[in-house]
Amino acid sequence: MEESREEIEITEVKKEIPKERLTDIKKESISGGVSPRAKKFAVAHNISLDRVNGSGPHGRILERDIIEYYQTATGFTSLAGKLINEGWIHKGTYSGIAGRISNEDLREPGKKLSTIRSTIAKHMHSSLIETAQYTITISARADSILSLRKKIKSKIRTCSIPNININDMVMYAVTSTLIYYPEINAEFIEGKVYQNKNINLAFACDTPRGLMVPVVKNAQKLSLEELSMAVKKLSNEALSGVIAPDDLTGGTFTTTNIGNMGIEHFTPILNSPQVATLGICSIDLKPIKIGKEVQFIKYIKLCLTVDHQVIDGAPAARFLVALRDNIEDFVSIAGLKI
Amino acid sequence: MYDLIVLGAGPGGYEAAAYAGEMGRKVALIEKKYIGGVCMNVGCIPTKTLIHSAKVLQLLKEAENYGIKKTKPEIDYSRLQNRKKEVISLLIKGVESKLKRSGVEMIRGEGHIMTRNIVTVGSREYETKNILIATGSRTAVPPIEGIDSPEVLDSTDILNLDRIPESLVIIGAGAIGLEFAYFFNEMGTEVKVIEMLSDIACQIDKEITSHLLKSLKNKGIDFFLGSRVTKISNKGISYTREDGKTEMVKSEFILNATGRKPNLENIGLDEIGVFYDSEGIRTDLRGKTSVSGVWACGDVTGRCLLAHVATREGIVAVNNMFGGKDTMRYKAIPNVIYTSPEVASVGMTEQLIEEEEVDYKKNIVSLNLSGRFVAENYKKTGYVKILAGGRHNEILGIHMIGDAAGEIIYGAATFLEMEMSVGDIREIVFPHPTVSEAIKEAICQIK
Repeated sequence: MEESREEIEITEVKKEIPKERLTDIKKESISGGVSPRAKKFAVAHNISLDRVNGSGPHGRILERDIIEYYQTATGFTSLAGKLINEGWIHKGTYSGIAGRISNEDLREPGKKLSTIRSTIAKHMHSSLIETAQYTITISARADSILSLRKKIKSKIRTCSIPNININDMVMYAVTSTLIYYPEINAEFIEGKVYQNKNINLAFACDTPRGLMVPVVKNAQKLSLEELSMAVKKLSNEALSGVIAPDDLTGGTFTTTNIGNMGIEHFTPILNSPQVATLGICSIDLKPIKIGKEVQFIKYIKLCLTVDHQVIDGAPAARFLVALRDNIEDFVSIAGLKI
Repeated sequence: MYDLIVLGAGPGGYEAAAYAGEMGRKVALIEKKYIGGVCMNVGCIPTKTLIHSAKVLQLLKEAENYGIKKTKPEIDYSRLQNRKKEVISLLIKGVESKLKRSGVEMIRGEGHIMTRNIVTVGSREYETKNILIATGSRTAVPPIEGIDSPEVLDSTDILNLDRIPESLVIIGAGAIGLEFAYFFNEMGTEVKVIEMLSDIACQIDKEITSHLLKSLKNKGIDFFLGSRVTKISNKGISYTREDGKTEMVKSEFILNATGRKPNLENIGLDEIGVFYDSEGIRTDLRGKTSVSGVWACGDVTGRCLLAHVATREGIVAVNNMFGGKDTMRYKAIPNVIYTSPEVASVGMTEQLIEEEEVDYKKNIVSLNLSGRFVAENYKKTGYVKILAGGRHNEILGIHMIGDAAGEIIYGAATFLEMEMSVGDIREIVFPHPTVSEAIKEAICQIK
């Protein structure tokens, strides 16, 4: 009598085995199995073996596997569950109670990039991957451009001249120098160098929608006043978002200026396939020994990034030195009658 | 070769030693003075024993309110002191048998770390794989002229007084100062408390401590907040008020309850290069010090000077020592002040939430919403304050004042550890009638 009663009880218990436990048994029969110690731990801690990866032979689940699982993946707290549903991302840590994922282990969902930002990201990344860029820096005495700027400022109301600023002057000096260095005013595409006769001078422009790089076409044909006006027109169009797509393409050399914000030095990234780009930095005082005295003289710093695949250090340096000379002697190249 | 040698048999050290022993590890526990540490011998346990006598006395005084005609209660202070000793010795026996059961070897004496693997006690050397420093803390002595006068006592001295003082000035209104203020005031001592800060128990939510302050003042305790003690002489205690004026009070005894400092000396920290500063030994959230194989827990780390924190830190360290992963979390540490009314809290205070600019909701309800509280507390007040996240209603902090608070706050700690929200707690059944129902009520009112 007693024996048969026991049997009945056993069959009833078998019926009650929850789904989770059934998969455990299944797993045991098809894989390398589960070590008795691991099984004991799993039963004691109510862990389903389904999600545990075995590190033993044929994927046998060992005690250390299940302990590691228990300590790292037992679930998440109530708040963490809500946040995960809202798209929060797991950072990979488990700092909650009994190894749960807690609020502190999650980060807010990231923001998708705008179309323009995404384009910039791709362009910048590929520039760094596909080129061998390096940057060299020089300082140019700034008294020539500063005194000209002062003159323009004082006469702007009486004469009909545009408000030519330091950036315009440096861009004009770049154009005047580039004429003699066609290898710098070039593009490198699929193993071939294309030197450009025309200087299409691109300049980086900070707009509410992100970085834009308008292009002044045939800059070598423009006077300082014309260049200044062209730059102003394109900047305004870029800022207000009405710039024509044509004015954003075809550049052969790029300048970028964050010196007006006080940046003393930076390494601009090439606007590839162009082989060179100039970073214009701030104007700062520099102690210079003249005779037995030290004088403080204003200098502007210029950082030239070039692609070493096609331009070596010496030619890049020669261009930058020539540019410096033109800036230091700007009045003679400006041809401005005021 | 031991697996672990623990320095200090306080709630950090003895629990960690027993835990490691239960894991089957070979453990030695070195203690120079008290098994059970400050907590059991001259801290938590004796003060709670004395405070209970004060509560009995308070109840007898109020007995008429509950329909029991009073007889005039008399204090038998020597019985009270003896009971304190009985409680301590009973609990120490419990600790000793726990250590024995776990196979921990008890070594009496002062342990000194020679290398990261060798600890000496007297002339004997012990070799070990791990060292856990749990040497605790002692009363800090602030640089006040006359602080070394014989009438200035610390918490240990005052527990051993053989009579009730006529008058007592307590310097410091933290948990220790407030508990002694409550006890001696109830015993008939004239008590004055001088606190440098403008609030009492500064780590507790201000809304709760303002009720505590009111209640303790009503019992007759004088508070001088925002006042700095400048000098102690036979004329009295001089202190400077917030407005710059200097005043003087006089009392039979003075209790220095200004804080505690870690016991860092004569352990061998400098010799083996364990990094520490005046706050304590620097540890990471796993209990590791700057020297591999050397761990620390409890007051000596200066992180959070509470016995239950020391215990948890010790266990975290042991788990990490022997291959487990465990991390200390400090966001759900309960804090109790055993005055009457009792204060208990866990989680962020409203002041901290505002400081961290967290979006939040709050609700505060009277404990008189609980039938049991009304039945057992004649014309008394108590409150529970809930702070919840603004967006997901997760519990950020629970702060209570009212007797029984200390016994139910662990539930609130669970809510915080599980990062539960108002909605989750609605589904939990609370027993009726109990004071805990007020917590549920306060939580459920949050929309």
